[in-house]
Amino acid sequence: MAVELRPAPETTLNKASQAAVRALRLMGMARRLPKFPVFLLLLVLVIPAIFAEVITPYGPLDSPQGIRGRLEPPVFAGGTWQHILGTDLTGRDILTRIIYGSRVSITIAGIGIAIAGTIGVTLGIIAGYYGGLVDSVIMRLVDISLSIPPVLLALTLATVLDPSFRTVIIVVGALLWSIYCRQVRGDTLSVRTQDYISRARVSGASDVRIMLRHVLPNITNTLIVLATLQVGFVILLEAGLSFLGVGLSRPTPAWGLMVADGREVIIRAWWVALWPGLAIMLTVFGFNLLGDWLRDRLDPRLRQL
Amino acid sequence: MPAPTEAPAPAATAKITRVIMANTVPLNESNRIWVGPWSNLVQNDPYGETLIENQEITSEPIPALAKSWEVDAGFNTWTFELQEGVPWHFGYGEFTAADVAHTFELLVREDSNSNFKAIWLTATTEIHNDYSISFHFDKPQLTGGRLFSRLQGDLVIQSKAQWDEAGGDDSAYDDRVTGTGSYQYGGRDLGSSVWYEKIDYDHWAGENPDFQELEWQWAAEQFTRLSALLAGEVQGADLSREVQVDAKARGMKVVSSNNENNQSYGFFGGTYLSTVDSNLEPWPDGQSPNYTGPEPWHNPLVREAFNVGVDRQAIIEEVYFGNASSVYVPVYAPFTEGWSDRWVDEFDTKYGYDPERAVQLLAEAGYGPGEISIDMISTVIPGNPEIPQLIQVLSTMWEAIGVDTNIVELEFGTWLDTVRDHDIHETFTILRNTPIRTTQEGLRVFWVSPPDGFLFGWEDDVVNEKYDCLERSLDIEEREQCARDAGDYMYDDFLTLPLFQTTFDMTIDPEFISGWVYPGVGSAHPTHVHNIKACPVGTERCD
Amino acid sequence: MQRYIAIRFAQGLIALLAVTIIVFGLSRLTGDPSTMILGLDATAEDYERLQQRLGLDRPLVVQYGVYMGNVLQGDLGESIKYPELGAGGAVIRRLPATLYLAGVSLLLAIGIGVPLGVLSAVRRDTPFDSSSKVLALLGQSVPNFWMGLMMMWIFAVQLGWLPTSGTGGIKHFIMPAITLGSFQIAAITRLVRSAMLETLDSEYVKLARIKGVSEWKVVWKHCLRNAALTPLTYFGVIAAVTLTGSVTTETVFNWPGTGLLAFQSVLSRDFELIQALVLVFSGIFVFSSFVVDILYAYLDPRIRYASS
Repeated sequence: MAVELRPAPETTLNKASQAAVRALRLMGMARRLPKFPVFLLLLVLVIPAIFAEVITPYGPLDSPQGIRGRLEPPVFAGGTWQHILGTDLTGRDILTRIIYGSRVSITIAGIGIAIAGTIGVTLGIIAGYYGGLVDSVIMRLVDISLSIPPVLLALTLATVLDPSFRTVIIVVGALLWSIYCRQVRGDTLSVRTQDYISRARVSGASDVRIMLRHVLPNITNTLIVLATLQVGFVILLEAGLSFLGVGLSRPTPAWGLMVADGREVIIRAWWVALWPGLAIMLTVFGFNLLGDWLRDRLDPRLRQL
Repeated sequence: MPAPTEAPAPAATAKITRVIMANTVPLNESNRIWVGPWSNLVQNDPYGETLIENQEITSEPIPALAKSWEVDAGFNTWTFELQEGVPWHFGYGEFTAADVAHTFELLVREDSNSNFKAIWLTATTEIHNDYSISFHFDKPQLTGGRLFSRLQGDLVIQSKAQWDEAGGDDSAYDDRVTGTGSYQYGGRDLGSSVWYEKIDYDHWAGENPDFQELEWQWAAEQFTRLSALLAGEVQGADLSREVQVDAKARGMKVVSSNNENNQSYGFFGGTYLSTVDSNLEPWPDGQSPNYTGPEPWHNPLVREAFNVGVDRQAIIEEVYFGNASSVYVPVYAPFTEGWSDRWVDEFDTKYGYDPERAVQLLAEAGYGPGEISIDMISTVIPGNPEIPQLIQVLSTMWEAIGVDTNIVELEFGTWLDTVRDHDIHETFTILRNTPIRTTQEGLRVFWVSPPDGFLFGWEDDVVNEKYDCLERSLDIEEREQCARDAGDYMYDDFLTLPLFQTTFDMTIDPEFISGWVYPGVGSAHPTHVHNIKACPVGTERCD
Repeated sequence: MQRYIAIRFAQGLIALLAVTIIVFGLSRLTGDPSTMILGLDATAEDYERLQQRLGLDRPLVVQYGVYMGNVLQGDLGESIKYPELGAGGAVIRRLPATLYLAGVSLLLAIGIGVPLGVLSAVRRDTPFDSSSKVLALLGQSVPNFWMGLMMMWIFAVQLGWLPTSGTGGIKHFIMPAITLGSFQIAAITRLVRSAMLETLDSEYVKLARIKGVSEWKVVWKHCLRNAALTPLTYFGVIAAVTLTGSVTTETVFNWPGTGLLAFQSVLSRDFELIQALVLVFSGIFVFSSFVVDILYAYLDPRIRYASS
């Protein structure tokens, strides 16, 4: 026991220093992150999401002047400073709802991609590592999932489950896992034959350990790029589903829903649909820029649409 | 129908040959009248005619393909004397009693989805001669005037000759269905439109449309309909009140049905089980009613609080733009059995907006702020575009009196399923009644227990008994009393949340159309298309 | 090669079969169409009668068996919305509108995306390159329903230049095609740019330059021909994205194609129509990726050995 314990502090220390190095490297990279997309995302998404309660005096469901205060224009179009971007069809402050909407978008994208990523990465590593029958079965599943028209799947799923958070997250998961799976399998295949993996295997490391310790770290870059680039896709998907009435449910302050609510009064009250549409666009644009930048730095071989 | 002595006025010279109306999308696109519910009749209305028509102003039953009709003392047999010399389009001979019997046969086919199949199945026809036919019903049918007219009926007469020519194949009417109206069927562009042409001979009843052709264009998105109207691609569109404002601001004109034909009201779900111990009929599917115990809404004080917590006037002004009136008791209107003027007189004192009193009533009932929590179901029902907005507004108003609300969006079909399963307790829903049904039918559809009922609004002994009385009694005074009792009960005990009564509106382009008179009998669609009047050449606008 | 084709073909069939099972299950879960068909005036009796007629009271396995039996005979089932055509007929009638629109938007995307991608690659790291990149990324960032609405408002209602919606002439194509194509323009620009960068670096291009082939010819003939292969492999994904976009685009512009049909049939619970739509679309997906794979394997022999 004692013998085994002795090297432990070293390893921990080792681990700690490794982690520190990695953290430093990440921080260094963070400092080198492109200014514009980061600034854009901080402004439109991150700061509003964290400080929503501080920034705005209203709640996302409040209509401060009641129904009589509906469809007030933005301040520069004849409105008041009380509602800088105007009010919506039930008299709620649009700026407030956009600010709270950032949380909705982050939640959906975060959880959705985490679920899709976990399933996809797990299956992908297993398929790539073991090959053979396991690989064939998993890849057939990927084939099947890729041959269902995504939007029809989404529409059907969304109707089965009723509009809600859960539904959108399930739809996102069901659509995206196969993309991760395919990518990770390919990467695992190329990593598997490397020397250090063989060495680890010879030294008696278990399969799980090899997958977690040796394969996974080598595909992290790809995963980071893929996930960043997909945030935009998920936000657009959620907006589209909400627009069709099968995504999130009113009165959630979701940007897609807000556009959907405002579409009928565009002529008289353009602000109801314009602002949330812009919020979607800027956020997705920010993530696309960031993802693009990350890809060039981390994984230039990765192509995506 | 104009009297035969009156010569039809010459049609005004229209600026365009084809008048196009942008409508909501029907459940199906087909000439087969038996396949769809009766809301689909928008596509059969222009060329097809019914035995009884509805007067364009009052919507009263007036003769159409039937010159006259009578009913026996027991209301079991309705006998129709038919018009003679009515030609079918495209040379399919003349209209006779055989066509009426044939249409009836279509509606009772095994695969028929007629709204009134249950009623039609209790009937048989008897042809006396070419121009006389009787319908015998098992049970008394008091509402023949509606059943055989457009107001609620789906007996749009179809040609037996055309059917027989196709050897009785289901596809007989698919290519070019014949009819007797002043427009004949033109054609269809699936997913987009259906169009009709004016007949090139005098219509048997003297209808004389101004436009040579008429087209219904299907557009699911309201903004698409609005855009098409403003861009001059269509001359009329079915638009909600919210959007009518924009259309009017750009020179469009709104024409309304002459009668309000659409009522909306809220149900405090689960209150149907208010008397759990009474001997209700067993549920049709043998399931348990999912009942979870007495809820706040079983207390009349709570229901009263919910009612006085709603600022109906503000909603009418802001959401309906002043273009709606109040419902006093769901299902009831001044022309239905059992109506009482007292409901109008006392409405302000009993149901008027008073948030403080609402809070007080809740406190009296033992509920402090946030102690009542409800789900509010938001559905989109074709013809009632205001419902999702209404739900959000009501939610804010109830939050303001200390009720915790949670809006749940459901697709209409899913929601109907939950209703059928008696699974809407602790939820609030808005329902609509269009065209306004008779009291007896309204009670059946919205209130009573299965198997007769459908939505089970408040299935307790009182309501069920009053409905039974209406179903049984042929005595006018007794019926009036039973109907009034049911109404009083609902009104005085705040059983529901009465909301608004509206007309059916079309928004038209006054550069091409001067007006359109229709009574408001369709289900979320206009009728009387021969009344679409052209704004004649030489006049710039017909405001 | 034959063996490879056979394996790929079998894989495609298995995928399609699995799709039918998934979709059949899902569409049965969406609930019961009876309530939609019957309306509020129906009685419990009407309801049961309809259930029986539609076969909805039978076990799911039996329903699926009946369904597959019919599909194999070419009968995709009935449709509530189009009783005269049946589900298969309805899809076929509405498919051309979608294919035309998708075709036009793809042409548009290729017409804009390819030159833009080539020029960005040639002028790598110039302002032109970065602005075309930003433009491409923006195109992928706009929600297409929102873009459609805004365009309709500006160009059809305010300016009156274009028809708002529906089909008719060439003008009707413009806004829907741009809305649907905005994503693909970006995708193609990006793919062509990166593929071009690789080929511009390759040995034989250098050789061609040394040989004195004009730069214009090097770029537009030699490089592009090679670079064009890469986007081809993404054809399946691009087709999928196009069809996905067609639901919102067709809904906004009231385009009478299958996207609009899909949306409406889900809302009216037209089971067999949904199944037919998914089956036809999956068929297109599977077939196009089959063709692309074969084509690619034909062009690049390494693949067929690796995969089989």
